[in-house]
Amino acid sequence: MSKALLFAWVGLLLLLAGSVLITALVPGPAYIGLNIGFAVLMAALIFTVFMKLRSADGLLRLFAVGALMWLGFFLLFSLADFLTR
Amino acid sequence: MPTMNTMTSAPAEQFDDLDQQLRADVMGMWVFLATEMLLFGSLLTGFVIFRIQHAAVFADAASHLGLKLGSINTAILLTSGLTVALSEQAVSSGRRRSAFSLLLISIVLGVTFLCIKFYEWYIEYTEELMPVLGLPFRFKGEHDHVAELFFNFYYMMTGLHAVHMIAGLGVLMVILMQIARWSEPGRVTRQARIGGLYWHFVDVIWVFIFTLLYLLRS
Amino acid sequence: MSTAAPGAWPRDHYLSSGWSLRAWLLTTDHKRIAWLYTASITFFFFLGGLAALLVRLELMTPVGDLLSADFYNQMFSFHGIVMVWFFLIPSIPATLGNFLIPIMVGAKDLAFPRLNLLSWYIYTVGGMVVLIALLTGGVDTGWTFYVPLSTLFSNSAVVWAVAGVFVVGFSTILTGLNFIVTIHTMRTRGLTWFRLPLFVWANYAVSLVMVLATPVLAMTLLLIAMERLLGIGIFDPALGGDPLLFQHLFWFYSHPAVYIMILPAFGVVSELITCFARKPVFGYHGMVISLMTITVLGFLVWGHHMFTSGLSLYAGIVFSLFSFLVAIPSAMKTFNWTATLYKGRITFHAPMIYALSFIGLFTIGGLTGIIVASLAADVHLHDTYFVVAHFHYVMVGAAVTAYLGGLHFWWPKMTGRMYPEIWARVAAVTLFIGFNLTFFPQFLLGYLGMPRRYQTYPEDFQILNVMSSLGAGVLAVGYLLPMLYLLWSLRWGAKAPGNPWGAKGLEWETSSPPPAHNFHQPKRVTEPPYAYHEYDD
Repeated sequence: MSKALLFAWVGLLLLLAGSVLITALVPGPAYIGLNIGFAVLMAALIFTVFMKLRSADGLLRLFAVGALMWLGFFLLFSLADFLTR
Repeated sequence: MPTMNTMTSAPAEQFDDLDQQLRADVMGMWVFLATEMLLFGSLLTGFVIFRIQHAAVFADAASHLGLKLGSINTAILLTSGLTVALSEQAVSSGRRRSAFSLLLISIVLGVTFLCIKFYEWYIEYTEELMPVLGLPFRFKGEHDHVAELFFNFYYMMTGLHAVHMIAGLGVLMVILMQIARWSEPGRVTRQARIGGLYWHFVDVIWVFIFTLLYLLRS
Repeated sequence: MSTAAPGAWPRDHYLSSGWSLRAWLLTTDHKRIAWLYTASITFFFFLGGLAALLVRLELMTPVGDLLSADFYNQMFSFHGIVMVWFFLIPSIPATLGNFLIPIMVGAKDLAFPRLNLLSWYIYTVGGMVVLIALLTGGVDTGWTFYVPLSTLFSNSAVVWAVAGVFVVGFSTILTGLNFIVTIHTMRTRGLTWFRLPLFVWANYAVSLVMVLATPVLAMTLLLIAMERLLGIGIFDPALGGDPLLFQHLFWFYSHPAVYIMILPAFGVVSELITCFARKPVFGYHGMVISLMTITVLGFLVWGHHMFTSGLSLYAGIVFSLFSFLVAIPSAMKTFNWTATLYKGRITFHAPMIYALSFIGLFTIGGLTGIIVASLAADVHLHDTYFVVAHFHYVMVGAAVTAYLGGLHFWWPKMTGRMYPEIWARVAAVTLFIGFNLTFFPQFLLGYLGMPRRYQTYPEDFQILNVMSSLGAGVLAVGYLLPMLYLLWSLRWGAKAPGNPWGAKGLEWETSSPPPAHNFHQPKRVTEPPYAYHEYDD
């Protein structure tokens, strides 16, 4: 169990290093997606391992996904306005 | 959120058993975290909208933030996440001493994060990049008004995050005292679990703040 | 059905443990906290009503004569702020919900009783702060706090009002959190999800909205306060910011907030209709599905408040479409209520009169909602009295009527006393007449083009305005009457038996008033909800 925590921590630091290196070494808007992807992976690691969502009951996972989905609604619909004006 | 004045083995009076109580406590924390997600999320969404609209100016403004200090701070915070998780584990398996020291390390890391953050703000203040309370704002670049919008978001987000860090440190200190006293191991386990959830969540928020504000500079 | 069979109170009930101030202010009993809320929201209801009365008095004449223009602006703003956040949003969940949900799920209390008490204190603090705003100069921004008016131009006590609403939001969040966890984890044996009363389902749905929407309001208000206090302007167009972002944030909360007000009313009315028609609710599963559908769809329609603000046409079309879609589950509910009445053995007790009023008023409110949801019509009707009438039909005509109906229905349970039936029927009918007299003329005024929030108007509009103001007087009687006779019944009403209506549900299987932990023995549920058919056999 604590092995999983340590692995997650190493993974987080590697992802962080990767993301910072992308920004520092290869600047360009093309890599924005990569930065955001790394952030999502880091968040997923914290959620599943540190916050035990992996072993939690389905309901808690539903709450977490639900809150994200609601944020998605907000982003999607308000962007729909700003981008088509 | 656990109820006070309960015996070690007895659940609070509204519950049938301890399992039910733990389940309710953890679920309550997750529902609370969902509200936190929407609180920060609405601000981040606003940022994303303007980041798309004013892409060039925001990228330019982002390059004025300290990448080195920000990266170090992120690493510190992620490490504190590990120590909190390890401490939770130690509490639940009854290893009181290691639980105590791991949590103490977490608190030190958290305080370090805040100190570095304050130092960053101080640097930005000396560079006149703090458009708060009518302070002078001198941005070396085009569209300094739009850059000011970027910094408005920056102070709003990092400020609110710092407030949450301070609250989180308070929670960790309470748990630390409970571990020191160790009068009700069952209750301390519950508290560590719930307090840990909060701490980890504040880490997640920071990961997104760091990525969106510090890293997207082109 | 035996309405007035004299009841005998149990020796021990939740009120017998003491009447000291301490026993009330430090209680963690959900039933006592429900009373704390009832007292507080009644206070704010009459305060907000007073402001509305001043507005209506001013509008008796076409010229501004009774109030100064500034004071008029403050009064409609104060009316909106108080009624929305300090009465309507907590109204049913924090009072009837607080009292009934643990009992209806067969639990001893909510999952977090101390948090429940805390949320009342937070509510009280928020209320005090808003009163400070009133005393230190008042707010003239309307209840919506639109920027840049509220950030750059209004030099009134905006920060106080914003702070009060910000604070009260947390009380809403805590109530919602408590309900969600309680309904998930504390249902008694045999009480499956599809055996839950619709009142519990409605409060579950509303809790989801509270938890998901209120934080966005908190952030919006925080940004206003930060701009005014620290100069951190996110919505400031001079900085490249966009006031429309404020409107997006605000309505992402405030449209779902309308559902915070109406969803619990749906729950109450379902209980009343089924009991006084002596029939199970028609289409129980459909009722649950429509509740949850409205909950989700309610989050996808906020842009219909912004059709004339410069929202993009394409976004407008999408928001308009989703707004129309809300009509489907709403109509489903209305059809199911009327189908429940069909071939029922209907009795017209006061709660039933309120419930039937609800159906009528909600139908008018809902149908006019479809009119304002269409893009083209809304350009004409936006910011007119048509909109004012529409949302008052839903939020007051429907929601407040349901609240009063529920209060009467569960009054014997909550107090152990019967209310005077004759007076209650008179009040219910007065309310229905007064409400329609007040707000129906406003549909006509709005259609003719009278804008809202103006102190003066052309003389042609005077007849309809006078009708509306007179109706407000009748409406005030309809609200004051229950206040008087319900207080009277606390002392002189007949003692209520455990189940005066012969109703179904766990709350009717315990004594009136219930014991401190709701039941003496843990309950086990073995039948579906609303098994009224056995009375017919």
